[in-house]
Amino acid sequence: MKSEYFILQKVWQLAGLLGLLYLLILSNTTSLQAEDSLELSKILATLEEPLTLVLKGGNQQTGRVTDWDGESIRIEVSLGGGGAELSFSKDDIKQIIFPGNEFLEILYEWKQDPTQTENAMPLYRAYYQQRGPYFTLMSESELALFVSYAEYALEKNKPLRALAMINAVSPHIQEATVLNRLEEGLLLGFFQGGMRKEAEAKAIDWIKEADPSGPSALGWRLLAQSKYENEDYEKAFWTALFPVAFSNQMPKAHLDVCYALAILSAEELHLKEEPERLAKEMRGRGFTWPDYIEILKDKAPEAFTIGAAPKLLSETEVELNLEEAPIQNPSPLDPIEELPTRINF
Amino acid sequence: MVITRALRAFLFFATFGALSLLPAQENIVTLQETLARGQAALAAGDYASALTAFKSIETTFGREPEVKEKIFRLTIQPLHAYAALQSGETETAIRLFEAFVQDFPDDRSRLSFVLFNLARAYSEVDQKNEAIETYRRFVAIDPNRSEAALATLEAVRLMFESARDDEAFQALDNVYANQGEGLLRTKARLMALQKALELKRIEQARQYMLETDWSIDEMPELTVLTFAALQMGHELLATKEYADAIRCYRLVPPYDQLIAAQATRLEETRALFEARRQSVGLYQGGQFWTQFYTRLIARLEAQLKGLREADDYSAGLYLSYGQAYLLAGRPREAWILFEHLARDPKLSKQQQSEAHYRWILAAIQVGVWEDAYKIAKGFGRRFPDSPLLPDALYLLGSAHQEAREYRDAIKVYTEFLNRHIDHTLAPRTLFLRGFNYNLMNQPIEARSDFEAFIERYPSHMLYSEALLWRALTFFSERDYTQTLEALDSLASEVKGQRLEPEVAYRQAATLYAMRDYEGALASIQQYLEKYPRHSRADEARVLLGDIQMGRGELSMARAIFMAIDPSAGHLYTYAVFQAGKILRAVAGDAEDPKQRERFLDAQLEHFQNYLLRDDVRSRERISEALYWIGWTHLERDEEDAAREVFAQALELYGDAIDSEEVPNIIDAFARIEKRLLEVGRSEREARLKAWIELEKFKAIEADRLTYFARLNLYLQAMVPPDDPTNLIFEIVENVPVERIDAEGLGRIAASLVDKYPRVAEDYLIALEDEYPDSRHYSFALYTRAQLLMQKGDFEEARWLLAQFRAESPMHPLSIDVTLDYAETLTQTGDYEQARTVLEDLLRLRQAKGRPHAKALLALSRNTEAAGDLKRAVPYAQRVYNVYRGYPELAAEAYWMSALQFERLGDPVTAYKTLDEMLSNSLMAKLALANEAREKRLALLKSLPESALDETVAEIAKLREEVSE
Repeated sequence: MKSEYFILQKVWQLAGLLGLLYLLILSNTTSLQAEDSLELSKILATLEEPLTLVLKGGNQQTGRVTDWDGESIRIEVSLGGGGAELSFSKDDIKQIIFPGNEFLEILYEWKQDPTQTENAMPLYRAYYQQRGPYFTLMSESELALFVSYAEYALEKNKPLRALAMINAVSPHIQEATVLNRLEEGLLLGFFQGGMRKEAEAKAIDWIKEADPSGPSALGWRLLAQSKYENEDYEKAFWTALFPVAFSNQMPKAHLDVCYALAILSAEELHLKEEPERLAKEMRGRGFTWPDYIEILKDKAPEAFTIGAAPKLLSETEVELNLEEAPIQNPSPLDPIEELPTRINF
Repeated sequence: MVITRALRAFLFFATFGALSLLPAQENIVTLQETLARGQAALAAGDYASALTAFKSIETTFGREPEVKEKIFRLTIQPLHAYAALQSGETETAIRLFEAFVQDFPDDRSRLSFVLFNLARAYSEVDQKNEAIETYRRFVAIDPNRSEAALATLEAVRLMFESARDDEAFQALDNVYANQGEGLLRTKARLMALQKALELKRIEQARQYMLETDWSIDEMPELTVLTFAALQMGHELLATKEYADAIRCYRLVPPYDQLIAAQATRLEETRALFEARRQSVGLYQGGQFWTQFYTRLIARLEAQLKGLREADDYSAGLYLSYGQAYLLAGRPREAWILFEHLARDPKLSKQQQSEAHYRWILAAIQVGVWEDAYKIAKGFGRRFPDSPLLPDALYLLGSAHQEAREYRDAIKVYTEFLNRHIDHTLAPRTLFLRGFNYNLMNQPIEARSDFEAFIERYPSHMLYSEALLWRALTFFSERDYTQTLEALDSLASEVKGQRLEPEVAYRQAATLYAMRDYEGALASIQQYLEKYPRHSRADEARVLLGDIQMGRGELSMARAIFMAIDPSAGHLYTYAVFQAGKILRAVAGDAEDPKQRERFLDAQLEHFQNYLLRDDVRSRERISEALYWIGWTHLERDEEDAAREVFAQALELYGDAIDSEEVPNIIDAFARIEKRLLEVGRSEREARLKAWIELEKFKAIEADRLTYFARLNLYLQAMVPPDDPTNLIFEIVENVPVERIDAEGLGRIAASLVDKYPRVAEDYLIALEDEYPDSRHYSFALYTRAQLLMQKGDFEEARWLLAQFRAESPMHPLSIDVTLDYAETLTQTGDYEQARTVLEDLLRLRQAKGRPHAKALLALSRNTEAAGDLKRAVPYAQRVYNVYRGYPELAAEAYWMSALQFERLGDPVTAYKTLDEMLSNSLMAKLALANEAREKRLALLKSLPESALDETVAEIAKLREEVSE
């Protein structure tokens, strides 16, 4: 998997979505307090309190930010009964301590609790509102909060918000595994957001780079799902079957959906043995039917319901191909590209 | 070290706890000093010094009363023994530990420590049995604690070293069964698996491998499991247990993934060890865990190092994995793996070619022949020097053959023979090509191959087969004399061999075909007597029945047919209907009405039994049985019963897409009405059509669209072929393709292909895709051939038509197909063969009339195309002289003949031919007449002035001669 930062500006420009997406991240914050629970209100109030700059020399200054242009930061600090404004270059800042870190545990709990989605999402937004401008000053471990925000948004079917978050946080991430997660989030975001063409193209690129036995089958899953939804069952089947064929016992994300899509496509193709065999195998490997995918909902098979381009020719090649090429002769074209495929898209 | 810390704590207690209670005496100070020395040395890991100190206490202070105190021995003896063990004085350690066990058998705090180390000591001096027993005593103290499992694992190691394998496996199974999920449980199972494989206990190893939840995403020794699974997978692949082989290969991560996972597991294990060593004291099992983790980490480090130095096994894994998929009947998964490997430029050419070869096999098994052929061709282009190339071609040919694509098989076999005539598979390929020619009803080409085989490979194992199949090519040509001659000659050659009964059966069948019933009877009786268990025994019994029928021995024949069992499959059905035929014949001949009635009763019961038997696997010809039931009712003047039988049959089977006999039921119904209604033909047909229309209406109302289509096709069949109707289009409009049965699809495609080829192709594709094994597939061959002829691809069309002729010689379209086949032969320059085919057609009685006229026209075109214009003329002349009743054919013959005369340089005769044509009032109205008029005018203009006068005079003279 490529580890370099993936630039999406072209996509943003094309879609004209960037501004809209940022608005999405911050949307509804003005009306938050009226809507949310008391505990959330208390937390949100805390998040608006002054932040603390830890300077490289060891000093700390706490105050409200009055200006931040990406190079220097100006804060208003309290001095006895009055106040003063202090300015620091970003190079002098070692760390920013934001108020409200103590609530991250609550956020984590809310995230795990499906009944708390209405609280968790605004709290994530508030954290982004508080810290978003200072990403350049934050460490990758601090930015993990916003990677999880993107993933949570995807989980809660807020793909545009997730896309915006990924776009905001990605430039500040170097860690390859995190970048891979973000890239997958991006792909899923496009797909969930209804940008199917972009998602398909992105999925194909993803597949080209992916290790067939790697930890995720996302690209194959999304491409197969798209084909299935378009009733192109032949392609859906072969695409979904790819990661299944390569899979081993190591965990592989989205393999359950691939299994399900392969099974349903095989049924549509009237393949005799595949649907039942794959369904039994899927269940035998401990997967449950992915009812959380709308098109797969209530379609669990019986096994789940019982009990439990051409290259230029050399002259020689041209000569050899003046007549119909016998089987042993070199091809006029790149042979492998010309052959029937079930794995290239 | 954890032990050091634990000892320190213990010694503190020992020195300042228990011993401080002793009375203050002179030598006590010295004892205390010695104890302190021992304590410090043990804590520092200086076991030799510690041992010296403890020895000194034993020797110097041995007589001191406090040293003799139980509490002193209880405290000091295990430490003394431990120091001895650690210093290499194992015998001393054993003596001390044994004494402790004897003196303090009920001690709860130190006994475990003592037993574990005593077992270690025994193990070090190779007293394995004692070590095992001591470990068992250790376990018995508290079997449920984790350290017990550790001790068992140690005991098991010793058991294997002592060849106490069964006991060891049992102990490991117990650990697996009794331990909760975790490291030790997995370790016990992994150890059992490794040993089972090492000891070649494959079945046992398979059970361990496949019936264990390995928690592969957590277990530390992943490499061990991986290589065991790889080995087990290969073993299972070799023993053809493909599904289990797949499950084993699924436990094997590819090389890079394994290295990454193994490195992670090593780090995790180190972290876990560190966490434990901080928290567990010496007597609480710390020593055991230390030993376990130290060894585990050492193994993991060695495994990771070995793995990093090893070759990447991934490609080999996937090749085997793919092979297991392929052989387990999962060709699609195999395709994916093989195609991926074949396209991977990082793999060696050798690996790519191996994957590509297997990719062909997968494509063949998936059944996409076109793709398989392309992939096979691609293999030849990519790896022209691969030794697997001929094998790939051979397999592809065999696959085509299996798919009944005989012409494609012949193509591939021909390619093989042209390129690899010296390959070991060449003889077999030559034989198979002959065999496929035979299946294509091309006996001449088949015989040529068999004869070439016989000449070239007299020692080949297929030599006798080639002789047999050569003989059978004569049978295909209905040259029974030659067949018999060849079989008689073969019979002596195959005596005592596998083919002996086959040849005997074929001899009898040939005699029957020659109508030599007596000879056939003797021959088949001899066969049945000598080879009662031969694979053709059922066929032989049926043949015996037919022979007796031929001899007029009807009751004997009936008894033979009635004795055929349903296990004989379609032969049983055949026998049932032959027996029925005999009953009808004897009923018809019976002069006594009561006897006739008895035979009719027997016929009724006979077919009712056939329909009711529940031991018939695949009941065929249901409608025919129903027809004969109805027929019998009619013979017995039970019209209502007859009608009821057919009405029920249509109700039950009319809309069932798999009930191919429905058109016959409709037909039978119609035929009964014919018997019942004493009205004229037109009135009968009108009533039948009215009934069908009513049924159609009801079918549409009840969404019985398959039945609707069948009714319409029946109506269409009542209309002469050239009469236009909208019946087919009514089906096209009302019935979805998927609800039309194979016969319907075929008939619709065949009837539309001439004028509406695109529409026809939809039905053709449905027939090709959904019913490749249907007996109505011949419609697909016909229609596809028509489409190819329309595109000018006569070569491909010829193959399909040949296949049609071979498979369906009695098909209603067979005469049309023969004419088209001859056309494709003419178009591809095989004039002699075309002439033979057409002349054979002219000899067929059932092809008289229009087909004869068409055959003559085709002969004229073929002869002209062959360059023999003079001989072409008479064929066409014969048409307009003999078949004037078919004006469009006669007109075509006139036109063809006129053009031939013109090319022969006889414009006068050409002119007169057209003149004669246009003088016929019917022909003058045809579209061709306009062209003929223009041509006649053009010819007239080109003739010299008096050219026609002479001819007129000659004709007048001829007429006079005739009239005289």
